[in-house]
Amino acid sequence: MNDKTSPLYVVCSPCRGVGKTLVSRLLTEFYVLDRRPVVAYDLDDEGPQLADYLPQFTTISDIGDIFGQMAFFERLIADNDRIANVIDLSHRTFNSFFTVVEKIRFFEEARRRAIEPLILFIVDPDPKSPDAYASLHRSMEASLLPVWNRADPSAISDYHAPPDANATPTSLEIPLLGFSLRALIDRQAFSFCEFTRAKPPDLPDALDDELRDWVENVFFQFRKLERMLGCVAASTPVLAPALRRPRTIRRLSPPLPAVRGEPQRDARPGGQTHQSVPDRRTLRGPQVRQRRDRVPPEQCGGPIVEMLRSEPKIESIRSKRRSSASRIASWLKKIVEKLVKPATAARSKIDDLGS
Amino acid sequence: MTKPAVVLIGADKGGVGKTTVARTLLDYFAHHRVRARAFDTEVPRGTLKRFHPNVTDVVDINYVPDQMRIFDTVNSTDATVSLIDVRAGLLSPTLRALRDIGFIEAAKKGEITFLVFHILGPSIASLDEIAETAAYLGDAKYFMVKNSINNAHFFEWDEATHAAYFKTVPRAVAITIPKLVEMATEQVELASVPFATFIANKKQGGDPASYSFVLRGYVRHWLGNVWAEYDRVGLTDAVDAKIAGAKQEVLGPPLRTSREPPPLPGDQPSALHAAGRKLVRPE
Repeated sequence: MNDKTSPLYVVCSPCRGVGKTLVSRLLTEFYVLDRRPVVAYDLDDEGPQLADYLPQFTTISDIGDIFGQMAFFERLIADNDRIANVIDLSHRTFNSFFTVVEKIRFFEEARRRAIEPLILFIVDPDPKSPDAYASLHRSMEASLLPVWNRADPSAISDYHAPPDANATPTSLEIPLLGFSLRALIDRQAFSFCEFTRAKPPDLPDALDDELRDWVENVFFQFRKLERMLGCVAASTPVLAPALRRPRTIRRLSPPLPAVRGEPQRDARPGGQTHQSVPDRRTLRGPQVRQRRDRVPPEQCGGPIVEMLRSEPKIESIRSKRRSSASRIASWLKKIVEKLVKPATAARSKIDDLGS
Repeated sequence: MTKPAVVLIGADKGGVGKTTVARTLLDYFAHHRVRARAFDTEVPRGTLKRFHPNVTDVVDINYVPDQMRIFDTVNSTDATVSLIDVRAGLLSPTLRALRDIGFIEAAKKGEITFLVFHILGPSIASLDEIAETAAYLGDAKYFMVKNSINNAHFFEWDEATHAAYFKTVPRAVAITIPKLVEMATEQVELASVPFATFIANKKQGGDPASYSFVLRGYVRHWLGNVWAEYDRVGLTDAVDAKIAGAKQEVLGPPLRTSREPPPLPGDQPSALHAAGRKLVRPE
C-alpha cells in the first residue's frame, strides 16, 4: 500500500447466502498472499463464518450495543497503520450497521484519517436487494460497487469474458466455478493462500488449473479496485512472485491482460509464452455455453460421478435460468427507476433554475 | 437595536431534563452568534454553571436582590438573550412573581420578548401543570417540551386528554427532544463541557480532548435533531437573531432530509463511485 490511504472493504447484502463470506475470504487472503497487513471483522452470526475460515486474521465483532459499536468503530479508525480492513457484514446487521455509520458519520471520519471505504454490495434477485442498493447509493458517503457472484451454483451465467485491464471497474465479478471446485473451496480447511503455494492432494490437474484461473481472475479485479481507491502504487504485483507455482497442465484460458505499467503475466514454465498456446476461443470457434464441469472424461472418474449426480440439479437449475435472468433484468430496471429518473429530474430542475 | 429576550426554562417536577434543554439552548444561541447569558437557580452550587461557566451566574430566584440582578439588567446587558433555568417546582411561582412585578405586562407591550420552555414529564399530571402555567403566560411564546432523554414514554398520554389540555393554550407549540444514548449523556456529564464542545473533541478551556469518536457522533446527530426542532418552531426569529452559518461549524453539513441524491463527496466524484453509477444507466 502507498503511504496515503488504506482500504476499508464492507462486504454486504441484505440477503443471506449470497456469498459475502466467500468474497471476504478472497479479499483477506489476497492481502495475506501479498504479505500485506490485513484485519478481517466478522459481523456475521450464521455459520460457517469468516472466523471459521481465517481465525488468525479475523476478529468477531458485535455492534448490537453501544459498547460493541465503540469497540468496533474506534478500532477501525485507530488501526490505520496502512492496514487493509475487511468487514463481513451479516444480512441481519445490514440495516443497523449503516444506520450507525450514517449517524456518527463514520465514513467521513475514516476519510479524514486516510482510510478509503468501499462498499461491496452483493447483488441478488431478491426484491430487497435493489431497494437496499438504492438506499446506500443515496445516503452513504462512500464508494459503492455491485458484486455479481457467479460462483454460486444457482447463478448460472454465460459470462466468461476476460477482464479488461485498463477499464474503470463498474462491478466486481466472481466468476462461475464448477460444483466440485465450489465444494472444495467451501471446506473450512481450504485456504486460497495454500492453494497458490501447492496443489491440493487428489485434485485433478485440470481442476487445479481451472481453480487457479478463477483465483487469478478475482485477485486481478481486486488489484484494479485498489488502484482505483488509490491504495497501491502501479508497480505492486497481483501475486507475490515467490508464491507462484508452475501450472500443472497447459493453459486453458488466455492470460490476463497486463494492467497499465505491468508486464504481461504468465507463469508458464520452460519459456513458453501465451502466444504458443491456442486461444480457447479459437479452438472452440464461436462462443458456446460452458459445461459446468470441464474435466475431460479420460482424466478421472470422480468429477464425472459428481457431474452425473448433479445432472438433475443442473437441469432444474437450467430451467430456472430464464426466470433468474428476468429477475436480474427487473432488478436493474428498479435501480433505473429509483435512481436514474429522480437524478435526471433533479438535474433538469437545477438547469431550469440556472437559466 | 435588538429587543431583549428572556427565556424561562422550568418544570414542576425534577428529573425531566430541564437543565439539559437549557444547555442545548445555550449551544444553539452561541452557534447562531446570539449573545446569551444564563442564570442558574440551583443555589448554592448550580448545575447549569458547571457546563457554561463563562455565561452563567447562580442566583436565588426568591431573593429580591437576585431578582433585581436579572430583570433590572435585561435592557442594559450586552446579551440579547437572558436565559433562566428555573428550579424544579418553581415555574408557576416564578411566573406569578413576574406578573406581580409587571414583567408580563412589559412583554405584552412589546418591550421584551418573553419565551417559556415548559419541560413536561411523561405522566398525566404534567398536563395539569399546563393549565396552571397558562394562567400567567400573557403574551409569552409558550413551548411545551417533551424530553425523551430520560426514556420517558409520552405515548402513555391519552390522545383525547392530551388534545383537551393543549386547547387551553392555543398558542402553545410542542417540541420533542429525542433520546440520546445513555453512555453519551454520561460522558458529556463527566466531561462537564457544552455539547458543542464535546462534539468538537475539546475540553473546557479549548484544549484537545480524547472523547470517543462514536459517542461524539451520537451527540452530534442528536444535537442536530434538537436544533432542527428549534429551527422548526422559529426560535431564532422569536429572539430576533440573525442566523449565521455557524451551525455548520459544529454539526457539519445539514441533516439529509431530501429524497434527492446527495452531492458526491469532493469536487469531483471518485472514478469508482461514478463508475458504479454506470450500472444504473438505461440501455
